[in-house]
Amino acid sequence: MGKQVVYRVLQTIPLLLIVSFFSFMIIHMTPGGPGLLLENPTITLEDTLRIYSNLGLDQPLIIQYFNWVKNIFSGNLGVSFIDGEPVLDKILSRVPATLLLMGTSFIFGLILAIPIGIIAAVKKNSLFDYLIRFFTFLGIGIPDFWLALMLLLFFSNYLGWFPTGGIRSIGKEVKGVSYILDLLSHLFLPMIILTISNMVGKIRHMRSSMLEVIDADYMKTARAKGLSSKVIMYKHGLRNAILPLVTIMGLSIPSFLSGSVVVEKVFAWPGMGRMAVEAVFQRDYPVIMGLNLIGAILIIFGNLLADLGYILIDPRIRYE
Amino acid sequence: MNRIRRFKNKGMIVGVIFLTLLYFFAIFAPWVATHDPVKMDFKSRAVPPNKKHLFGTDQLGRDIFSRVIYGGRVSLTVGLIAVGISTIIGVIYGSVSGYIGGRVDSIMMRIVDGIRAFPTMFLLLTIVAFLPSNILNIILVLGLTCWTGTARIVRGQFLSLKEEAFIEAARAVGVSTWRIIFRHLLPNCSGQITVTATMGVGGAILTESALSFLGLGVNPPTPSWGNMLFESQSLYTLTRTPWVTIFPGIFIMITVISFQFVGDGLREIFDPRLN
Repeated sequence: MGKQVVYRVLQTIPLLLIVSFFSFMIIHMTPGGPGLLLENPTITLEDTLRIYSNLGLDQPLIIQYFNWVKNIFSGNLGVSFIDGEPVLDKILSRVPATLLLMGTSFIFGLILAIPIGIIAAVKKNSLFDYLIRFFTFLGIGIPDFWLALMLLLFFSNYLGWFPTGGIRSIGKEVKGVSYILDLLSHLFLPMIILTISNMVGKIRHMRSSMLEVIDADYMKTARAKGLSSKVIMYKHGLRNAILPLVTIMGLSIPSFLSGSVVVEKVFAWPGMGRMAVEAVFQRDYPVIMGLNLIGAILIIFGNLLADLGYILIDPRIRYE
Repeated sequence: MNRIRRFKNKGMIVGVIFLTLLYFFAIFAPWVATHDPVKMDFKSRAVPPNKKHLFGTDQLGRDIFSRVIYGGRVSLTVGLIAVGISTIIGVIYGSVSGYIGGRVDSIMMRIVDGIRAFPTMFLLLTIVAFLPSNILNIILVLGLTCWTGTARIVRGQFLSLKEEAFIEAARAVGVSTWRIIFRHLLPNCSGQITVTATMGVGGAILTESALSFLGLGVNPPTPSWGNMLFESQSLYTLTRTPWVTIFPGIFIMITVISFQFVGDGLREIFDPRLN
């Protein structure tokens, strides 16, 4: 097992290199990249060249890339074009809000999806199963941002149950319990949207892997031994069916990050997603590059954790 | 014959009917629409749905029904062409990787892993930010970023199929590599490719709408289902004229679900093991 773990960890190194190379190149290859950003008729050629050499843009692209990677290792992702603040500090200040949103919807989604998927599989073709199938199709088809607007319209505007955006009420000094309640009331709607959009895939996977397990030979053996159907389902079945979900959990990080972009925008949630939209509109390319890199690193390590978890739980997995 | 009998899937029939209607409306938009989609009528601003304006009008007095019909033209076209591009790229990439195998395959797949490691939305925002936002660029960006799923499926199929006896037989008889790929291997994955592409159209429409909603997709005044919702970002528009927000969203939803239904139905037709 130790060998597999080492092998799997080593696999992430080329991946990290590729990802860093891509996030650097995308920005520098696109027309209207950083070179063009400084094209301004009111700036003289001398000044432009000086700005270029200050930012290191006069070096060959490959040298720029190596400088960039070297800096990453010392935690230096460059400075924002807009306010001159270090990119890493800027992004890190937005990470807690995004993690809070993603974490809570992840946990809620899991708590709901596992039992729903199991029941839908055990009671295949029942009314419940059909309702859940209908719900999953709805979940795939509804645009996140539109659902967000609808909930905003209904719950915040008509019913007035929740605030319309932000992470805490402005102008109110709140501490202790009321601070947490205030935070939760702001968190609720964006969390629901992300939960719904990410639950759908998990329900489907849980249902299909449970269905697969139900037909497996060892289940027939268990039945033949005369075990009660409850013990068979939940002791033999569930344990095996839940395994693939570990991988799905790791794979759900990209969709969380993508979902957070529009949801954070609608609810003015001060996280990484909204920062990405802002940075794009301001053409703040060091920030965009940093966000891509950090997002990708999150995803790679999410997958790594899921795979390692899988190795730990399932003794059948063997890496060669 | 057996395939035709399996066309009983109800969801698929519903999906096909809806999609036919939607594409019909889009193609014949000038006859279906009741008003000019970009003409502002300051005498009837922010009118709720009524007989004259089926879905009401927005703050500028533009007829929402007509805008939704014309918006469908953009959204449905973007989805189809983008998926067309991504399917072609994915099939070529996947075939090469799967057919050659070995070291080339593992390098090519690491690159795919690298692309997939990016949060899609961040990646799209990044590229869109540096391109002028118009319909063509949106189609290209979606087409060039969403091919990795297809590539993986085709590659996986190729890897397992090329060990099969019928391929070995073909090779033994002296069939050329290209003929093996096009006549023997690809037709065997056509089912899965079709299913992935069908569902992909829905996904592409969703992504286009999200980008346009953020103001980074299709540019106004051309209406698309996504950019019609751009104005709804302001709480004022959202609460004063909710119908402006509600109707385009419903059309996106119906379209995406229909593509899902059809994709699901196709999967059952192509993969009898599921029945």
